[in-house]
Amino acid sequence: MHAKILIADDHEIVREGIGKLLARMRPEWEICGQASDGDQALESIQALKPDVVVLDITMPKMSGLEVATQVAALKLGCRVLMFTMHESDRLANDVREVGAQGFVLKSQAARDLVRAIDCLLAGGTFFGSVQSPMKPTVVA
Amino acid sequence: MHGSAVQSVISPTAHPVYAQAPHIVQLYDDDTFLVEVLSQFVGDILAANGAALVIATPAHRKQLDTKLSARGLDPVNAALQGRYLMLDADETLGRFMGDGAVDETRFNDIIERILGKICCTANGEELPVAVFGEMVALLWAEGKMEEALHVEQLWNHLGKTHPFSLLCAYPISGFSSETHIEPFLKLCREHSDVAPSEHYLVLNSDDARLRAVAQLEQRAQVLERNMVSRQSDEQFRLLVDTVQDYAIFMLDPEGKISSWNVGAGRIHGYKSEEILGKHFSCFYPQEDVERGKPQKQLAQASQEGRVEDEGWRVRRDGSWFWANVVITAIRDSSGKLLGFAKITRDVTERMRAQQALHKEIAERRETQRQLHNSERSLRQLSLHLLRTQDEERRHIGRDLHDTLGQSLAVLKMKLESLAFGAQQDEAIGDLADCIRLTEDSIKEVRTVSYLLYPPMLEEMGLKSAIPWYLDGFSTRSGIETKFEGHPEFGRLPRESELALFRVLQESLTNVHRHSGSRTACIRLLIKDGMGTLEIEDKGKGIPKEILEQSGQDWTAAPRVGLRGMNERMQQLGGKFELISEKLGTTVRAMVPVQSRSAK
Repeated sequence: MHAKILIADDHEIVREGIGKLLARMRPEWEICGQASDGDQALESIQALKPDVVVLDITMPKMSGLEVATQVAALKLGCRVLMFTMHESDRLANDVREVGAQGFVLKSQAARDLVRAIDCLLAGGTFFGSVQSPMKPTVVA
Repeated sequence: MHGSAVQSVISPTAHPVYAQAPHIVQLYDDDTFLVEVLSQFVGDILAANGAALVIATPAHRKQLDTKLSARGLDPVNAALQGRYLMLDADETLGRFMGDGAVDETRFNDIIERILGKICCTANGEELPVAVFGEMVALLWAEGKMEEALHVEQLWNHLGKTHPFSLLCAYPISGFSSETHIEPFLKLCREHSDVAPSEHYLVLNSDDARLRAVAQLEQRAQVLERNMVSRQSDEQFRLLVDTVQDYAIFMLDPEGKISSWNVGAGRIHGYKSEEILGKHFSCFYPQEDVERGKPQKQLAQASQEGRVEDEGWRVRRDGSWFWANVVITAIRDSSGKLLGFAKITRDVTERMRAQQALHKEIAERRETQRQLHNSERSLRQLSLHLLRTQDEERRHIGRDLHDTLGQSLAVLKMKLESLAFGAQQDEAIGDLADCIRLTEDSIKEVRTVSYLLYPPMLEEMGLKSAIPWYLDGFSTRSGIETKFEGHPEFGRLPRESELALFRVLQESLTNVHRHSGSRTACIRLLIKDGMGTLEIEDKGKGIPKEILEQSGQDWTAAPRVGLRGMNERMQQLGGKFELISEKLGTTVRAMVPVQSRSAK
């Protein structure tokens, strides 16, 4: 099934990694564009109208959470998958609050990313992948 | 009138103790009276065919001759008969005086020889003898009172072996001074009778005499009192004179020095003869003299009764000393200014000690000020260090998270992707090891970077970062945490959020390490217009001594943690409070909600 995917992350290595992973796992999907900051991400969403945007939270100019808020506010019809290094149960709540439909940890990309996009394309959400052992263990 | 009075007291023939060689002293005011008395004394003895020896001044001798002749006596004939002899008092005195003192032997020799001549007639008949002597009066007049008394004693001694009647006379003016009182009393004791002067004798009634005696007694008492007072004055003068540590002297109303004591000499360096009569302004520095200070001080003392001053004064040798001076106006009972008493003390050493003390105090203040400044600089430096540290941590944290973290995440993704398509068992095993290693590295980087600086804080604010941090804290410490975030609590300036976050970290560390509490409640609220973070535990509280040591001055708090928290808040224009009780501790950190650039 053809789908247009936009990748927004300020790290090129991450964009490239995701691109290759998706191309390998789902060759039928089209990476319609890439953005390296929040502003660019929002513009590309408006211009390219992707089905799903894989949105990093930590980005220059505008954070992924703000972009998600805008997407929801502007009713751009694009499904938003937050893709982050941050690992917190609570983050899932924040992500839901800003109107995003899914949440994948970068460290679990190989396992979860394709599944999550699948879910979103099918009209569902994806919030279930956070693992507690990944929390910091240094004594306070 | 004189005659009858004299008769009753003086006459050698009428005197009741004549037989016992009376020794009478006649006091007189006027020569005429004396000559009257004398003519009676001598005249009576000559008229009774007795012998008379008169040792008198030339004037008295001459007047006596005239008087005796007037009485119808013949002194020349009596002299020719060898029973009347007149000698010059001064000349006779000169014959037995040696080195200003009476020579006893010579006196006895001379007088005995003379008496021998006149008391026996040619046929060996012993005559009654009357002697009048004025040598004592001459000695007295010369101030040789002791010598006069000595001569009186010698006459008394002679009187024991030669039965003569002796009359001495002293002008009453010789006892005018109070210094004569004591010798006068002694003089009286050397005589059998004291004949008062003519003023007393003219009183012709008993009443008048009694009154006169009473007056005399009164006068005697006054004199006695004066003597006592004079003695104490003298003692006082001696006291003042010998005081060494104070210059005590008198000034006349114009300011000229009229008395000088030992202390004044010691302090000012002048001898009494050098300074008496000089104006006291010579003790003042030239500058003070030019400004009229001495005169002003006298005027003030005169007006107010007393003036006290401390200042430089000049010694005779030109050296200066720091003086404490009191000038007191002296007035008589009518209020007339008699002069001034001036007391000066050299207090240079005290002044120098005071100066040294003042200097030391000033130096200590300066040291304190410098210390205060150093402390302030130190605080500023420590704040700067805190900020730099925060910045550096943030930088490292972000670098780890953003660069290394991302790379590791992509590495893992690729390894997993490779593992997905791997065919050989060996390769699958190696790839699984690589993936695990990468996962561990990601975990490590994440932990370190999050503790250094939580990236979520910057992106999502305190309300999101705190719950995340609490999750980790609870896992690590086993302390149950509860978070309450006020709906209106929004984003704060980055620096404020970071500062509050550090307070949270520090406080939770204290809760974990020291409080013994099993729970902690964290609140974010708006209080008095300030963004407020509260961390409350149910532990044992902070030990009293630590709280007492620190008081509310957190800069002095012994725990750097508390101190650092306080300073972070101060720097942001916020507040830091610590309420510690038996039932637990509440830490409250507040920052202004409005953005405010940190100083």
